[in-house]
Amino acid sequence: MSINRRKFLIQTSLGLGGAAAAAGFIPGVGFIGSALAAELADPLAPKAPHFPSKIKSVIWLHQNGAPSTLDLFDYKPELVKLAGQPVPASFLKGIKTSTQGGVGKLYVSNQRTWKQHGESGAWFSNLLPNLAEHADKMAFIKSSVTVGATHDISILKLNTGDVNPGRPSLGAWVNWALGSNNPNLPSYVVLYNGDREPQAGSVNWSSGFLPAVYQGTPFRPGDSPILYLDRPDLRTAAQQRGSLDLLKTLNNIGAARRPEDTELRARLQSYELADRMQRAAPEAVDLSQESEATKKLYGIDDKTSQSYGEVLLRARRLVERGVRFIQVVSGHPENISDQERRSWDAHNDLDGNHGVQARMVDKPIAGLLADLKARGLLDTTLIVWASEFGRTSWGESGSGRDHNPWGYTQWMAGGGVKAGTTYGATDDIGLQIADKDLAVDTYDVHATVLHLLGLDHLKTTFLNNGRSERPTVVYGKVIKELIA
Amino acid sequence: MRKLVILGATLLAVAGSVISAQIEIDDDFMRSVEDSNKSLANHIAIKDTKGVSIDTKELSEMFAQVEAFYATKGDAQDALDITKKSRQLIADIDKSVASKDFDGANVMASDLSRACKSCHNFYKKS
Repeated sequence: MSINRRKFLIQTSLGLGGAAAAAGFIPGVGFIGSALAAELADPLAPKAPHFPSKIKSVIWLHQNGAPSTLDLFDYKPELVKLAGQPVPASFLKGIKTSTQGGVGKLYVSNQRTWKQHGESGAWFSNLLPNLAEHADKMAFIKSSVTVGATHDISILKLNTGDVNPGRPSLGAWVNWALGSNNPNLPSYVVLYNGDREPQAGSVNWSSGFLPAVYQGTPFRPGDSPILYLDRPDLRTAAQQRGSLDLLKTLNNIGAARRPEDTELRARLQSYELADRMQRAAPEAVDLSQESEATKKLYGIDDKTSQSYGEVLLRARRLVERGVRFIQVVSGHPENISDQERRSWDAHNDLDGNHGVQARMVDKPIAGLLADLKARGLLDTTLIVWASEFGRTSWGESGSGRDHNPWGYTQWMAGGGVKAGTTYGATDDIGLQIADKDLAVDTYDVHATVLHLLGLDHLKTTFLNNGRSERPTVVYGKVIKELIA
Repeated sequence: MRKLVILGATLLAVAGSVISAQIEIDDDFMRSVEDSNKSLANHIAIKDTKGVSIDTKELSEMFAQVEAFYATKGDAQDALDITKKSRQLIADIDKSVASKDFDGANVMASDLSRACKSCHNFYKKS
């Protein structure tokens, strides 16, 4: 009988396999730890955090296109005073202005008014009247910084911590580190409003070098959230189950022979998950079960805020069902065809653009905060309002603002957050952060989110090609001042 | 006498260019620092004492060059301060790893990366 080296290794390994499997032996790999063995058996099984977590779920509100936080939260009387003048040189020290518009004159919209809200006295502009009512639920990060000044690159950094594709997104790290709380739904879901997937694409919810099973699952707007999820009419549930069982048996044989094939394991999981999701997912996103009052709370009765409101109401329903990480990418209202108003990217006509975008998100986010609070879920849910960068203090095209990675505002609310506080500040014209030591980069936001989930970002490590990788690359600092 | 002065000036110019070449901080140099820094983070995470020692030695030498560069350049006190802080962190990482305190070393390695970033905010050419 002829036998080659590969066959010999496989057959001898499989011969030992049955007895050794329980002890964590994988043919061709060797003995593995019980945790890893469990992970291979069910990679989405719940895992313990490093320390008790303050929250169960995260809703990551990416404001796509980069809003001008100078027109929303960061009131600058000095900018109002200097509007129309060139930027004083002292404010430009240390920054490289390579953005497309160059450095124009300082700009302030004559439609902007400001008011302090809540006991915290947080400033809100007239663009966010509903959100302003929740000032005391929020912790502002007014010293946000990032790298890059083009959307796709900075969006990638916002979600994965790197400006090059290939690293896992924050949601994927969370999914990998903590597993799933609901076997019938993906534990990392991506939601968006608008008529197409977010512009920077699936690389922003990728699992990178982590096993593929941990990547995010996009839910489309509408009644059928996942493409091709519905069982064809001509096929009975029993027939489908029979096919899946056969497929599972065959795939398990293949998986046992190729334990390193994470794509196959992800596929095995996805078939089973899809079967369960056929029942769970449509129900999870079925808003017909919600009262009219709730829909109104989320602004679903207004054409401009309807689609974003529906998405956030879905997010709340997913939180209720134990979904751990929900990444929501803002799009545009259904009635908007003007390309200039399909994201927050207001290079011109900021008033027109932000008028639409702010109205689109204001009531829904305020509704989400109120609804989570009323249902007792705000204490265990973290809301993060984030964007790829901010916008410049100077004007562009006469009525817009350019990209600003040197100083902008983001905020958090919900479980474990020191509500009603502000961390850091920008300079007097809102261009750069005022104190470099208080800079909060995307890595720091990630480290803080992970901390609230009970994960030490320094110990959330994955060995990739011999190198220990972590969500915060080589950076990251938990911003303790943001934590209650 | 005139020839001697010219010769002396030429020698000084050559010597000066050699010194500045020795402490030139260019893209390649900075990439080497970045590689060593990433390697350091990896070795701390996998508790490889020997690997950490090699990385800290390399980084220590590189930061000495950075410090010399900014001292020569002048008008860069903040860069000098950050470099000194970085060299201290590298020394402290060595001590922590020697006493098997990898968690402490991990935190300091993150601080070192932040120090790099804060210096880049001012001086990185892009």
